[in-house]
Amino acid sequence: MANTGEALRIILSGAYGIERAAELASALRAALQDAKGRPGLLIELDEVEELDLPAVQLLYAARRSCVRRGLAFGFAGAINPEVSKRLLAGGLVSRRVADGEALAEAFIGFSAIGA
Amino acid sequence: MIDKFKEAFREEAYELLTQLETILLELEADPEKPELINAAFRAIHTIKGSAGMFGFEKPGRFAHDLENLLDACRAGRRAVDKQVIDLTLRARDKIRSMIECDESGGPFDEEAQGLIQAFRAAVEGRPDPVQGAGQSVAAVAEAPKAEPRALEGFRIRFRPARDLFKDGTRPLKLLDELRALGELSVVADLSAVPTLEEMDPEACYAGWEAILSTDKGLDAVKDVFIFVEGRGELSIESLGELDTEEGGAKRLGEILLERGAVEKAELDKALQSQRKLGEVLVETKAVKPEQLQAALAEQEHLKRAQERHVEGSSSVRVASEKLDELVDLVGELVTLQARLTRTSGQIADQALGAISEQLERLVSQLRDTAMSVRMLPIGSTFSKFRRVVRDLSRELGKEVELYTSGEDTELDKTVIERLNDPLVHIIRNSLDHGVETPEERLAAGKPRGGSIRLAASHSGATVEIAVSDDGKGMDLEAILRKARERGLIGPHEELPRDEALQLIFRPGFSTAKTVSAVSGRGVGMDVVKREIDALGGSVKLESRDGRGSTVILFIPLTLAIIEGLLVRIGEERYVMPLATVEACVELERADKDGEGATSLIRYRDELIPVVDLREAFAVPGECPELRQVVVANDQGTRSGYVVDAVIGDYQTVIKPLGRIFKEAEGISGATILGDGTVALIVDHKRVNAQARRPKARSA
Amino acid sequence: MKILVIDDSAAIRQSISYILQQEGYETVEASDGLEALGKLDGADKFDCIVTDVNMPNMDGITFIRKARENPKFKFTPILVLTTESQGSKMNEGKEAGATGWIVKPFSADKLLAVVKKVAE
Repeated sequence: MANTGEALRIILSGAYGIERAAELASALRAALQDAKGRPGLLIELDEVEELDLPAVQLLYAARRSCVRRGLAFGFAGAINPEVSKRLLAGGLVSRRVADGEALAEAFIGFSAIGA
Repeated sequence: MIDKFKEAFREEAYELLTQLETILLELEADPEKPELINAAFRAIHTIKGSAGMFGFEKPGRFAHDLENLLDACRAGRRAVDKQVIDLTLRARDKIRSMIECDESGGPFDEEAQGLIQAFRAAVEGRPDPVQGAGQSVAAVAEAPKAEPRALEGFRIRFRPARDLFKDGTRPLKLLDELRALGELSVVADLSAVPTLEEMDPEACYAGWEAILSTDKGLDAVKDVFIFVEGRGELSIESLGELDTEEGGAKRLGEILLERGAVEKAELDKALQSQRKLGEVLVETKAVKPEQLQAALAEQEHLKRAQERHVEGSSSVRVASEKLDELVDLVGELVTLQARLTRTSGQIADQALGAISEQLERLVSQLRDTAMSVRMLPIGSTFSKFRRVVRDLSRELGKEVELYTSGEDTELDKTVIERLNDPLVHIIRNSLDHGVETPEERLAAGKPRGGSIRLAASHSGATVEIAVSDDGKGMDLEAILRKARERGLIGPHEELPRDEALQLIFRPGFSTAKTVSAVSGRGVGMDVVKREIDALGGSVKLESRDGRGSTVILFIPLTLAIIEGLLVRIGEERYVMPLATVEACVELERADKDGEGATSLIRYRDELIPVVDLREAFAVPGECPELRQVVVANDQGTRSGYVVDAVIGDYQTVIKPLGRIFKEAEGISGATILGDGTVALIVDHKRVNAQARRPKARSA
Repeated sequence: MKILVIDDSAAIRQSISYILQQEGYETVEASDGLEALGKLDGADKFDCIVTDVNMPNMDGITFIRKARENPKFKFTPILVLTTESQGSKMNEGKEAGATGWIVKPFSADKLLAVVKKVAE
């Protein structure tokens, strides 16, 4: 592997509704630039209280961008049970998830991105 | 809609009708002025729009026909001539008299019928039968009655337009609405999401495919999407009734065909093979694996929905004693496990340690599962309170509505049962002392009717239940006065607001001016507090003058198993609930100031009261030189409990004490330890109160 | 939950406010679009806006267009009050950026159902 060191960690915090979509998009775009020379991006979800559809779309888009650049893209931290419940209700995940690793597996069609 | 605004509507309507008159007279002088026609139209339009909402359905219907005429004039389909102005003036007078005479519904009189006919003739240039007048509008009020329907399956595909978010639509809310209609299986499709660089973060790239089984019918399903019609691709297909044979046990092949995933010819070919249809179709590439997955999910959903509909629910009824027995056994297992952990720690054998650890994990899962079986939603008790509020408010001549939320908050079955009485008492108290009479409320500028809110919610390992009213709030002065009269506080003692409020939880306290039939029958809020304490919970009171008060109960999720601290006094062992334990400190005999059950010690620059449990429980034997103090912290108030030795953390099952020991002060239950001996569970709050009581009086 | 209620009829405005308050919503009232724009300037957030269409000074449709230009209210759910005879207004409202509509006359239950449908 050409890339060394640790993945770039991005800490998300609070409620991500449509109002914060633009903000989240620029944060992720900036992270994509900063991740050069690193093995990938790791999104910390511990402090996330809400993950509405626009935010989920952005995470999918971020993964697609990472795959294009040959970067890894994953999640870390515990998932708020409320967040997990909402994701399941929206048909966005295949089952309830407790942590970031499980989220990456449960997001519908997520692992297939770029494959 | 609401009587209190009827008068406001009437005044507004009179004002608009006066304006209309002025406009019409101006219009007569200058019939070509479009602003004037617009203004006349708007006046009638407003009256029409609001009349129906305040019970004036009839003038509303009448105004509707007049509006049509003015609309025709506004749009230039009809010239504003003397006839129009004359008709409108007469109609205006008619509307006024209808509102004045409080004509809310029923048939039109002859004059009104004549006018309506004339409006129509004026718009369309031909006479109209009078009978049809206003029927289209009248029909709106009568909503079609929902008939019970059969369970029906729907396949819903929704791919919203990219700009869906731009009008404030939240697609996930639509799914929630669908779910409210019945059973929903939904899978999102986000394959259209591009890269970050190409993406518009405020656009919608998602689509959904959902299967819904509902007995509400197609219209109810369509209604969910009413605001997004034309805002993307939406298809709602009925899958037929699910109660019938062919509906429920639909074959996979049929589903695939319906979904357009396979051609009829290929399906027939595959069906001739003796192997599983799905496998064959995927193997021959007639169907993509994901298409098969989706079809199987649909089949599964429909089967499930049908089973549920037929059986009501797929649950098993178990006698509650059996459940209690199960929890008891699990509890003993937990206790035994604790002993195993300790023993294996002492033996320090690696293999034994590994087994013990593994068992510990299993036991803790088993405990959680057993506990969750006993959990029930609290909502079932809420409906009882509705009745209490209705009956009682009638009795007291008050108008009070009960609003509830958090009905699906789950609590241990036993806890729910034991919460009933305290909640009834709190609600009665709010009704009796909190919410004012309609006259008092009106005088205070509040709406006539008061409200009581009952809200349950989770907060960590506790459930919060808040009962709030919008009444007059607690009368702080009256509370202090009463407390002085009763000798609960000194004659000149002043307390901070927060503490003063909590006085109502003291035994023998009641602020009602007279003993009413409702509360004040000798029992007061102290009963509530005692019950909640016994459940291991706590009570808080908040009040805002003139705005109402709130009683909040903090209840532990489950009663049966507590995390405790095992301590020793003499030969006996006791368990103190761990939740409130803050620290354990050593105590030499010399540290204690004063003799007897209570004294003070210094802890972190603070003097805290300590109770000597050896004395409080009259434990015989020699008191050791070096002892320990368990420091408890109850919402910021610290107190200490002297024991001979602290043994360690302990998970324990509470066994209720027998009837004989019900009155045992300071003990809330018992538990059996791993070695078979019994330990008593200390109710430290009661111990503290008990130890302090005689002292407070003598001071 | 804070809701902005806009209607030139005080009777309608007050009764809508009353119904919403009974359900625990906080309400702010404005009697036309222009006044309502002022209320938007002074507020950080509304969870929902309910507006009449036909109003003096500034009508509901113009108000919605202006409200959507304000970043704070770009995605706020907005409901339009219409009458049976104004079917076209529903489309006009949607095009201007309204989330949905309520047809007059309506009952308290209907109002609450529609508000709950669009507001979080």
